Amino acid sequence: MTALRIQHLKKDHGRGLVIDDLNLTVDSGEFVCLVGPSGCGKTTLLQLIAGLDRHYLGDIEISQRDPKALRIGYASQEPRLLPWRTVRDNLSLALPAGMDPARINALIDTVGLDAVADEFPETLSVGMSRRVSLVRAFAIDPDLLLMDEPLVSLDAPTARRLRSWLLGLWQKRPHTVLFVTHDLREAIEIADRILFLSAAPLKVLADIRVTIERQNRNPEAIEAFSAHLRTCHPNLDALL
Amino acid sequence: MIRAPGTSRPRIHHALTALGSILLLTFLWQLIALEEASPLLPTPIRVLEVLWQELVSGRLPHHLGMTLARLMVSFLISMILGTGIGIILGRTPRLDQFFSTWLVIALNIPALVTIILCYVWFGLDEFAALLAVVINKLPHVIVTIREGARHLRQDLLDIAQVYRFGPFKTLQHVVWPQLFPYIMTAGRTGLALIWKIILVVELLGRSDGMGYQLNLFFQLFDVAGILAYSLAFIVIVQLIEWAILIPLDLKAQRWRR
Repeated sequence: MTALRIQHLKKDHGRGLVIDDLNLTVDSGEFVCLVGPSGCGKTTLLQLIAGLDRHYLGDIEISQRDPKALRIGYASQEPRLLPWRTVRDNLSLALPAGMDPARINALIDTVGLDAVADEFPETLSVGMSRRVSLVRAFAIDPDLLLMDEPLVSLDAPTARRLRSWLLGLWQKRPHTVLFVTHDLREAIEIADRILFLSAAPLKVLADIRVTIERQNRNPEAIEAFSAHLRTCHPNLDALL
Repeated sequence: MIRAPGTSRPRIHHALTALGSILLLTFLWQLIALEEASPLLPTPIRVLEVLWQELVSGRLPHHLGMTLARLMVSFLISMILGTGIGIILGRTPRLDQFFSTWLVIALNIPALVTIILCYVWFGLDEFAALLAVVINKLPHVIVTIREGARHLRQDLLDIAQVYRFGPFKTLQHVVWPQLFPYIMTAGRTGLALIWKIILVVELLGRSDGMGYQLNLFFQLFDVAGILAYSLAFIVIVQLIEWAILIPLDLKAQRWRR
């Protein structure tokens, strides 16, 4: 089943085209990474998909399970938590009407946030705030999960811990994910499919399925896959 | 960290310092008054006597009560209207551009002019009195709240939109906490301003309230009466600050590190 279909998407910032005739489809439950040079319009693309900016040409279709409301989870580099609400309240507030609030308490326990649930976000470490922001995105049981470099500029061990925690979360309940990153190794480790994007105006340069089984994605396999990409797709050299 | 009220040493120190400075002021006043020995500068003790008499006779509670009632009504009206208009102007630049000249004019009309005009146009009644106060205060509230509304964090508004908070939840959980400091500022300066304007309004066109009473004392050259009423006034303002404003501040700011 198709979860997201984008057809002939065009976006003009007024300073020229940011996105030029973009087409892509994502299947339900698929984990897709977007890899592209910085400033290529990935964040703009996510904002269009999230519905934060309605000024574009073309179609963005997202299939929704709840006919009343589309549910999109959004997590970015900035955790964007309400500083005047506790962690628990930040999570509960994101829940759509009609979803059982008790869900949050159960979730807090399973993802290991119980120690900070009643703290205000300003007292949390950077890694912990991002974790909360990711949990918020998962908590609403989204039709589509948008993640905009949620692991960037963390120290390596924190990023690694958070990445495997995130994958664990996703594997328990595979949502459809669009994950922006500029780290190819990260993409190979977590994605089902990687879309390589051009510099602005944004276009898809290559659409590559990661063929390594998930349990076999160790550093050597990732390195080998990346080397294989280099030889098969010389046009991606700048991105690799 | 904000310290919980009453539990920390610095608060006690503060209170002691304030008490000491008030005692010193009263002592100096007493000395000068004794030296002058004139009815135009009564001693603090004489002022307290008058205050007591006025309290017992019921005159002070009556006039103070009238002024407080007018204060409450005009304060609430201007805060509610001003907050609403301020948010709208702060969030819609085109409206803001259009009405900003109106605001500048409203801010610059002397309070006395609006009071006189209200009495001339609407008669010497309660409505005109309250309207005059509201017109004086409203532009200040609008300007302060507009400033807050202009600086709402877009990243958090985006989150509210992505997670479909809807207008009511967004106002309560995203907008209100950000506007709160501005509303407190508008409230504090508003109270100080309204107190002063109300007295003039009462002096010019009412037959009760603190302003009326002060005018009476002025005509009788009763300085002790004037000072006694002022004292009652100052105490009330401080009570509002301690009992309402400071606790509100502490409650709203507890999320800050």
